[in-house]
Amino acid sequence: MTLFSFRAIFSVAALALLAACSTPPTKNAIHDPSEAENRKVHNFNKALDRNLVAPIARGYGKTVPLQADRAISNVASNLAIPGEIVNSFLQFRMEDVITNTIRFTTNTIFGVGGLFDAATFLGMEEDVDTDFGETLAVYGFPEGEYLEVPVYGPRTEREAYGLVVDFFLDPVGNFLPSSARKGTFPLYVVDKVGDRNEYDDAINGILYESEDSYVAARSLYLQNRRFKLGSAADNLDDLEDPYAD
Amino acid sequence: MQTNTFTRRAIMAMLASLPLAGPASALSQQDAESLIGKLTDDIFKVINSGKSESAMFRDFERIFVKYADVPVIARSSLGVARRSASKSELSAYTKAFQGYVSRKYGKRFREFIGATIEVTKSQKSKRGYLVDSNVTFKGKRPFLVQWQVSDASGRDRMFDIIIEGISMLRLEREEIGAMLDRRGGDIGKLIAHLKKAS
Repeated sequence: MTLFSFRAIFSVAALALLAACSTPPTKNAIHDPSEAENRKVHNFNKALDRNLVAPIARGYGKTVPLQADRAISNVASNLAIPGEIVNSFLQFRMEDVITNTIRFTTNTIFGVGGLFDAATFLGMEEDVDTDFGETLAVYGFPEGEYLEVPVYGPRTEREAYGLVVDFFLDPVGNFLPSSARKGTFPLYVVDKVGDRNEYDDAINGILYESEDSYVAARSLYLQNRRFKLGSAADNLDDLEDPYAD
Repeated sequence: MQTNTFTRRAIMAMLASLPLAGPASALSQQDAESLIGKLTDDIFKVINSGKSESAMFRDFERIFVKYADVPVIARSSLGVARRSASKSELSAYTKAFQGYVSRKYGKRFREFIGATIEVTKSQKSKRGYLVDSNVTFKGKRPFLVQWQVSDASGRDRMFDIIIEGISMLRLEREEIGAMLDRRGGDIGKLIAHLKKAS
């Protein structure tokens, strides 16, 4: 069996599991039946951050020059675009496919393999950020329960399966020669370390300054994710109304 | 014919007096946008003032009270517990909550030093208007901050801030709910905690 077909089968298996996604009782409610397990994972993630990721990120911030950090994050976001193009295609959003294709081509050629964000410099449209979790949402799959995934952090059940599919779908990894493929994962990790450094204040605020960081992280994730996936009309409809009673 | 003229005049007079019978000042789209323009100007003046943190917190609290419908925001953050709270508990809670929110969000405003904010558009919403603004940091993708404005309290007031879809009202209701649970639903203990928490 080739690696590619193994990946395809794995993706289909993940999808089959999705059919078992449980549905929240009402729209926008918090559906967290596994809270006890999730809190354990949250504590693990927090310990991982405190003892490993945050210190490394601080070291990174002190030693890596800003230009290098920018270049790493440019390459990482450029490498993520092919996967986003596949997802936009699966979502029948052809405009997004075109936007991202132009951006990817521009940055790969004129931005020297994505080191420079030539597209933004030329005033092109921003890239469209999407993933397989969104593709599933477009197909009508329910959000499922709230999950905190080890290392990756907050997700919904649907987005957790999406994460797995995106990992195996990865067009860049599939088409790059194996020598180059070995570099993509470390690059991804270094990019995340850079993000941890860049958003140090915000992340510390959530993890270490709120009394219940689990509740804070859950609220922030679910609200932001639903907002990104919802239509403008949905989002207007979902506004809080404290005057109602 | 005399009666007809009279009736027409009477109707005209009634129509003319209608606006007086309505609310003293109906919130217009322009009012909503200019309220948020002034509010964000005031906040950014403080952010870039270089004052000490505690002086800034006092300024933020003053701005919060001036522009926001604090009693309604505070009540909403209590969730279902607001129904069982007494009047005096509610007013003590509101006072503690407004200081807590000013410190909590005031701390985070530090990240906005050097950023710019601009009101971009607004639209009609359930209780008034939803005003959109963009916060831009040099070299970064701008992010969306939305403000809900209403005159339901009798005055034009902001009652929710929504950052990239994250509503402050909702976040606070969930976080305060968790705090209250930890204290066995005791509002007195919650108030004591909020007075020193940030």
